[in-house]
Amino acid sequence: MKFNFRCVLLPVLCLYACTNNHSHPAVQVVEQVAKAYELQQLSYCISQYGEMIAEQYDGNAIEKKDGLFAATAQRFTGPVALYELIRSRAVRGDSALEKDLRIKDLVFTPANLKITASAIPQMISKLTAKERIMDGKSPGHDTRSLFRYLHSLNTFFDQKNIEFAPITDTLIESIHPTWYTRNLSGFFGWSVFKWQHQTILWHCFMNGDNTVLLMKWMNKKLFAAVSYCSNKMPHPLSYNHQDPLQSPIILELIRSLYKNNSELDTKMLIAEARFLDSKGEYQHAEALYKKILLQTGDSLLMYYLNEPVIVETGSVSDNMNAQIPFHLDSTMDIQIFAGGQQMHVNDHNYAPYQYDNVQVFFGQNTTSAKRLQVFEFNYRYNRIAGPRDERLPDSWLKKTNVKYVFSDPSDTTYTLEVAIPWSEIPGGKPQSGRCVRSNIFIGDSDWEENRRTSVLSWMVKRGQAWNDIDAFGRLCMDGGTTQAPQIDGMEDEVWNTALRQPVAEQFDGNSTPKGSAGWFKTLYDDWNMYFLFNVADKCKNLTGIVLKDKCCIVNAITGEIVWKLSATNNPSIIVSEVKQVHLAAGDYILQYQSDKGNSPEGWYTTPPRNGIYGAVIYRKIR
Amino acid sequence: MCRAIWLICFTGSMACVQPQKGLEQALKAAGNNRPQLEEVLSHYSREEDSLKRRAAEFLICNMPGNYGFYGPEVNRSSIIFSLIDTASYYRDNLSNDDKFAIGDSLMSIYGLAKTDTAGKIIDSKIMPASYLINNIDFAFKAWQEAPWHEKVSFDDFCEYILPYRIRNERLEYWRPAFYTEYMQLASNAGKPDDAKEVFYHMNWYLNTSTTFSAAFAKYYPYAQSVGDVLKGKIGSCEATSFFATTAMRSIGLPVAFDQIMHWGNSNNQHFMNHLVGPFMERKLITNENALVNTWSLVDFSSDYHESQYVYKKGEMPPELYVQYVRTIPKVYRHSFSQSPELRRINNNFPENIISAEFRNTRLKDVTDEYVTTTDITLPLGADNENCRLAYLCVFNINGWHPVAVTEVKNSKAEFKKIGRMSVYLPATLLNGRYIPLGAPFYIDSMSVTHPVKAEPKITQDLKIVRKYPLYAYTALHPQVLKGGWFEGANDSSFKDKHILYHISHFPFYMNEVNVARAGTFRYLRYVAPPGATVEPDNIAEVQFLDRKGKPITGNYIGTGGTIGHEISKAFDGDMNSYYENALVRNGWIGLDLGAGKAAEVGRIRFCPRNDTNCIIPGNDYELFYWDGQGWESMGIQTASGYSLAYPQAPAGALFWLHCHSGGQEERIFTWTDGRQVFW
Repeated sequence: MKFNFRCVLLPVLCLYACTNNHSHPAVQVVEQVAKAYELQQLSYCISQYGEMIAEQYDGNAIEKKDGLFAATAQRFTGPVALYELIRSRAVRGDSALEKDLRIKDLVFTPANLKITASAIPQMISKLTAKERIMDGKSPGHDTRSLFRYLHSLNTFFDQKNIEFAPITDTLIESIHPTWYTRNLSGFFGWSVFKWQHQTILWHCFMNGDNTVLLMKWMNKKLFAAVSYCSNKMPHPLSYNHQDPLQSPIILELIRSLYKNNSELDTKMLIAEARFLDSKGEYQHAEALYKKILLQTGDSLLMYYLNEPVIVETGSVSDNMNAQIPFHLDSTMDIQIFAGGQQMHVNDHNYAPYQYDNVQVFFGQNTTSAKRLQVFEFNYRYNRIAGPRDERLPDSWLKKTNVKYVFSDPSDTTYTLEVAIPWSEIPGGKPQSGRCVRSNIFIGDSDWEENRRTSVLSWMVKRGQAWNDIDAFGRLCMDGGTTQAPQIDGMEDEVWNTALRQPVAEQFDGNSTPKGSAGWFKTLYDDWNMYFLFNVADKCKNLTGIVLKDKCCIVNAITGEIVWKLSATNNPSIIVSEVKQVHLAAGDYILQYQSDKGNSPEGWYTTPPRNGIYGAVIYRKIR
Repeated sequence: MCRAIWLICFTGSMACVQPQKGLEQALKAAGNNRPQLEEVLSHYSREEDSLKRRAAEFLICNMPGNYGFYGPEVNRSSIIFSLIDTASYYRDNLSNDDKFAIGDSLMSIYGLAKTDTAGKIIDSKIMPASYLINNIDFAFKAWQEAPWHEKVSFDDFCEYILPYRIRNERLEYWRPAFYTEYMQLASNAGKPDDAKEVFYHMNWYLNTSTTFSAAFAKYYPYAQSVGDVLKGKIGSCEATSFFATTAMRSIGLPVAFDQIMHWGNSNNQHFMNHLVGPFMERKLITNENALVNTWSLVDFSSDYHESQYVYKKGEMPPELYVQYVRTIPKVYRHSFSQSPELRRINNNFPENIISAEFRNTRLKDVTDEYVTTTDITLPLGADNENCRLAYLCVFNINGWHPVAVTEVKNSKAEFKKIGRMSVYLPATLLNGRYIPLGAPFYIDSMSVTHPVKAEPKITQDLKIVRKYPLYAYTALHPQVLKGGWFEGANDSSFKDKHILYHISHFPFYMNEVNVARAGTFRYLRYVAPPGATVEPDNIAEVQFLDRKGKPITGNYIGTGGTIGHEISKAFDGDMNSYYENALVRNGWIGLDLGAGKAAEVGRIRFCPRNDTNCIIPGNDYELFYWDGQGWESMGIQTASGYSLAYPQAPAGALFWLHCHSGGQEERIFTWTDGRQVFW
């Protein structure tokens, strides 16, 4: 007997229409965006607090795309199924499924763990457990059935995982509303996005022009599944990004549910401009791009706006510690856009030597007494630290005739040129042929700006006392110079006559040749002793400024930092950097560590104007 | 089997005195919110959740009467925490003064925050089921996963792990976030399986992460929530102990929040954490003034450690003695369930005769867990036959302060567990005033009660040198000066120095010495004893006087001082301010009188850093004695020296020296063996 589907479906669809609440802002947003962006084959299902608010189905968007349908069903249900299996002890939470992947990692995906899109279904397929959730129910093969199934799963998730679900609609506030997604990029199979102290979970499945968007607002218990067909409207994965704010649907939903801000306005302009671009309305698009430039003030970023990214941190949340691996097939120049926040601190007043610096020690051993003098030059800092005594705090020299200038011949080296009057050196100028006892330390801090991790020494060796004058080297008076070098941080010709002395003894910590290395030269005349230092340092840290958000690129093989976001002397706490770096082919890790606040999760100050809070890396455009 | 049932019945009785009746009353009190509480009970209706259901019943039964401060006034005041939090992004190590400046700015806009007009919201009226279920689930998770789980009884779990609040703070959703946050901290303890080790480790870390300031309360006079403490990182021991208690409970440690309502011989109250159960060896504090270190039992209760120098006989003036111990009259535990005694009092007596302290029925008397105690019964006599509630009060400059309450029965007031070595005034509350019911008394270390009564017919001459006990933390300052000296020179490098006076004794308070003739000097200085170990070189006052007694002045020279304690502070004539060596030790300070202005020193005055609770010339003092009903004045004197003479004072009396010229630190004293003994 042939079954007449129309006879059955028509009254059912009418029933749906009757239950639809079109006044709900989420419904209005979806319908308005669909109209404005000319979406085809629109289906949506929106529910809140477990109650269906509105639904509409046009099965063509995904039903005819088997891969998309299956991916949506499997990917979304997978982690929930996994979690249930763990809870029911069908599988052990700590059993290794893959070399470095545990079931827990699939459910609570750490920000520093890269899981490919196919990992979750692959892992699930490896499980032999026969237990099924939802009483063995599974989605049928039509959009309505799928979305209703996802809605049921969503409600099931909320009910079962009350320990994670934030309390809503009460007078009781949460001290850390998003604690349960702290430092996670994935949560029960969802991608995590944090906005204004709330967690928003999202997913995007693509197949050609067909897109399925799943969104879940944890604090509002709002769930939305939308599918559509469009080759013009940008989606979260456009341009190789993973940015939910690229999608006008998600953007408008966020704007309708949270406080609006300029960042959302800019993102909306970008989405509109891209849409017009794809429609061939270039003049209109150009006008919008100009508007975007006015808002961001970053012309270079505009240049790269529609380029595919190599790697990015995505939206940075509080307490994030992300390590995102990436691979370069060939040697290339990369363009980095990065931003974060810095803080001026006072710790350099009692421990300046913890920052990048050069220390010059002079000692005099006489039969009656030992005299020790140290001059400490912190990288690009305007004060010199004075005599050190272990019993006393370090002090900055108030009066000195020492002259010094730093310069930066390259991104990865710095030069220091110094003139020290003989009057400030113990014992003064020796007679011709005699020597001054001296030692040089090059201190290096990298990831932690105020924590010295390596000290290279000219003469004093590891295990010897830093103030052991007997272990110092000798700078001998064997000719001098008739022409004093100009103290400008440059290696004048007069330095060509001086011998280059390596500073290569590892006195403390560990250095790689590229991490920290140095040499120096000396000259003297009747008035001064002159030093020229050249220090290789990939992370040149300014004294007294600490980055609260740290960002760097690390060589995945050697662990060496090849680039790091730098602090500036700018009084602002926001720091941003645009940098071109030459990288050899190979494996790298983009690392980003944020502190407890000041991020899209919840701004304490004006966000960066260009919207880059985190890091985005492109191949450099020639 | 019967025993098991009996045990359940007995334990169940802890939740409510009459469980079903109490539960029904609590549900009824919830009004429109009743379905939420019922949802919690039904959530735990399964057999395997029976223990959680009992926990839910415990919380719901004891919910009535629990409330938090809310409303526009509280919200306005709480802005200070967000501002401090935000400011901490711009300035590293925000100081207390910075935080006070933020508070002052807010106060200038919104005015002084008041507690009496703030709104209160009863927990049971707003409690969502999800909050309570979440709280119960995470409390159980913490308790049952704790390595010491088996040593924590269900009763202790209910009182000291399970509660979602401790006092009247704004409710917040803290439990799961704290669980994940502080499990990490607990695991860093030396022995993470040992409850005692974890308690000490966490207590230290949690207390030091917040800066101490009792003065902050004026900006936010309500109970800080955990979110407030996290943002502001400032508060008194009340806020820091509350926060530490909350954090430790979140990981399954049964921790009580205990309060000393008032010290026996100091003017403040105190709050502390206490690990409940069989984890600690308990020693009792005797309250005797002895060389004991009881800090580990109650922080701030003593100020002595083994390396501390103890003055020998003759090394300090005979009228002084060092007070090492803060005495503890009573200790109360803030519990979630109600104290039967206080509930009875609050149910049976009108509010106007119950002091504000004891209107909180969730205080349990745990004095005997801390100090040796005595039970006393006071006959009240015929004059007081209408008295229904009796209090024991300790002295405070603002009036007698109640620390214990009891019902009067058969014209007798029976007080249990009274700490010794504090002076108590038995009193009753009438129209907001405490009316004495008898003479003040103290209980000595042998548990003998001693009334303190004036004998007007017998008099004694008093020589008064202080208004407050000389606590050990103040008594150590003279040690910083012993071994120092004064010298003069005419060469700026003091190559030609001449020693004017050498300090060979412990100089308490202002000292004045004559200097033998030694000629004139342009440069004068005080040199601190080399190699300071007690404290950084410090000194409150240095005054060089010429032969005619005229102060010698000049430009300040010497080793720079720390911020707020510069060299000038030693020459400003103010005993309250002091110089402190920024380089810690081997410092000196002095005067350059200028070219051609060399002077001859006739006398030198000098004073160690001090608490200014000695008698200070020029200040106005008034001595009172307790005449049985109130403080009777013995007259005001303007001090001309460093002591006051009050002849023919009544023997045996309790005295109080009040300084009209300022200051808050004043304590009552008796006159024993020719000197003041403070209480």
